Amino acid sequence: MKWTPLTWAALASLLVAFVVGKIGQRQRANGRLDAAFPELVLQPSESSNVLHATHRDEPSSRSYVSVADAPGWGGRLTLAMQLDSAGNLQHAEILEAHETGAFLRRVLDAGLLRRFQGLSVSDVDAEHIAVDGVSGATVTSNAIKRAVARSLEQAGRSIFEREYAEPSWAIRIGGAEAALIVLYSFVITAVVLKKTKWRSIGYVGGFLIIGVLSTTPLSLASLTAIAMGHLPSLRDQLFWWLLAGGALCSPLILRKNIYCAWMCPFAAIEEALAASGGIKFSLSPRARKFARRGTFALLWLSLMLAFLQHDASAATYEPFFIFSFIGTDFQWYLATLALLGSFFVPRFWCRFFCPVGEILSAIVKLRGQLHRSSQASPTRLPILGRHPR
Amino acid sequence: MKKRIQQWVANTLAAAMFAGIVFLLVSKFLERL
Repeated sequence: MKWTPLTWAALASLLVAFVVGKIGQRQRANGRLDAAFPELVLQPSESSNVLHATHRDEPSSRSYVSVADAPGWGGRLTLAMQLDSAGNLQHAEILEAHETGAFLRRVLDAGLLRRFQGLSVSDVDAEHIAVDGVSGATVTSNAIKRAVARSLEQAGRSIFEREYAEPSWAIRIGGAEAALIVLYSFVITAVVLKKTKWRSIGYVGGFLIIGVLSTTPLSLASLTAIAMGHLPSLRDQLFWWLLAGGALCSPLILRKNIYCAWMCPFAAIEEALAASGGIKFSLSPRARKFARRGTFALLWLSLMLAFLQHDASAATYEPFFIFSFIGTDFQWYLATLALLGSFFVPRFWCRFFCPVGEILSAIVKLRGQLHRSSQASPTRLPILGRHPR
Repeated sequence: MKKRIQQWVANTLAAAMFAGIVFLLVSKFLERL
């Protein structure tokens, strides 16, 4: 990795964008609550997250607005809900969400928020609420359900003096998580034993477990969310923690990008397409040079836009949504183009466009540089008992 | 000649992909403004 003035300028501009986005986000958050409930006059109560509310046209009416959040896919998902004087939920509004647009739209179109209407502070316990989620957008609908449950519980505690059980923090390893651990074990063994011929087994496993079973490969949005300080819930999204943890730790420990080279489900499709067609077109040398810079330019542009909007989901441009089938028309055109490209040019997406691959490769290179500099360091202490003669 | 046609196909696909991604990112940004 070359540390040219352009690299430093790119990093500095991203840092500025991050700070600008963070400041802008705070200013926007202040006006959101009033905008969500324009017909209500809100007054603070003893609990900072539960507000007393009166209707503008009926000053004698009494209700409450409770605000709570829960970790979603790309950051905290914040909800505000209006409760009547008996503690029944009247109306829920999302104040802030960093979910991928198509997933949030799917949840809202399915009418998830309407399913909570009429629930009371007595219908919830241990941050659990008995309402069906929306299939295909499990993480987002779970985050909304948890935020609603937390909101009802905090209103129940502070206004209606109810008591609730603490949620269980036990982490459950499901079938998908267990399968991913087995896959990682297999891949690490193969890498250590240098069995490159086993790579196709890794890809088949990655396609089935990461692509078909979990439908959520590692994406730029999830890595950007980490950079922005948003970590998904360990309890609700253990699969993601294992996937991202393994992918980010392997460059540091093994000094190899095992995710892209052995497990990525999209790379698996690309490899299958290349093998089925047997075509090996290549870009002209000039275009390859441009594509190399272009990948960095795209990565910089997407991070810049995500930081400025303080929204990790704004960063994504990858075709990985094909595993969940949730994407806009234009995204489908791009995904088709990526697959068509990989039919003619082996690993078309991975080599010239994938931001996740670029980030993981950069970590491998940085780790290599650190290793070399530590070996060359004259201040390195000799190992005990093995002093040079 | 055959190689130049192959390179032209590959370059065109890459250019279309690049332009499409830029369009996607910018249109998403403008949509949110």
